[in-house]
Amino acid sequence: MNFKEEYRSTFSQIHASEALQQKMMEATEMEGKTMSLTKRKKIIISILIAAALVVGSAIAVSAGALNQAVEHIKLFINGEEVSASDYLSENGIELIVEKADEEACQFELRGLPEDLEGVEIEIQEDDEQSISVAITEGDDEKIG
Amino acid sequence: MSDEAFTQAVREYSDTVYRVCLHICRNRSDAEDLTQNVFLKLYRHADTFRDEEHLKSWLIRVAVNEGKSHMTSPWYRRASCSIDDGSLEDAGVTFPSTEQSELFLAVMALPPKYRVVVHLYYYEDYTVGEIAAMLDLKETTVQTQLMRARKQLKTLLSEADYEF
Repeated sequence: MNFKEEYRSTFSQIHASEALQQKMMEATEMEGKTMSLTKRKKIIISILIAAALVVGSAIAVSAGALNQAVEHIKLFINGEEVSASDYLSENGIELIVEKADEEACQFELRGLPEDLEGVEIEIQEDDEQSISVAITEGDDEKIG
Repeated sequence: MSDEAFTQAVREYSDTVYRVCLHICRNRSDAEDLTQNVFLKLYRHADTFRDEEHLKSWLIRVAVNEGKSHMTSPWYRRASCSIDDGSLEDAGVTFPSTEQSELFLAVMALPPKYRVVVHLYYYEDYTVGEIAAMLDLKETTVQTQLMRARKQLKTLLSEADYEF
């Protein structure tokens, strides 16, 4: 059997779903808001932080940048400050970079507990400016 | 990018990007999230593309970078990367034949960097040189990864007796 033929025959059966394509096409109507993301297991609340983090040179999209970025977050749960990195790690929360360059760093926390309320986020004082915080719940967009 | 051009790109390349993303993260929900991120970047992309091939290779490169970023996240490792990833169920796929199911699972069992190279070579029909340029690797690195991937696939699919 020819591997290449069988490979192509196998993977040609995999397609992006109609629902996914439709969501992506709707991005043209959603520019300026948070793009709706597929609701995943354990994902109840998504938080998108758009902030200008002036941290020396450009922030590259890398594991190092993720760690660097999270160090600049103060996370308050129900009014109590918690260590962002510890909290994310202990609760299995993902931090996904959406965009990172010398001017802005946008990332998203996924998988926050369902019953979590009173989430507040601050950018630490040594950052020169913070632009906005957007909170999304499930698939609905709500810009704060 | 204009709305019309973007819509056309989604129609034309969403399968391509989704397959690459599925090779990276091996489960449907993550692959869908990554695919959306890639196309969001495309929508915000200001530069024009020389031609369709330039657009396609840009999308694949962004998909691979998005995937790397996603998978190197320490929280991803803790929260998402289970030993079950790569199953037919995780990927949300079914195949009509046992051979195809086994081929899919064998490919998904390869290390991540091999999976993408194998897909670009065997499915997208890119040359070693084109893959190297797209992934910012040396040609010798791509050749080595392909060779090692074939070796593993031969072992995993020994009963099928494939010609590579």
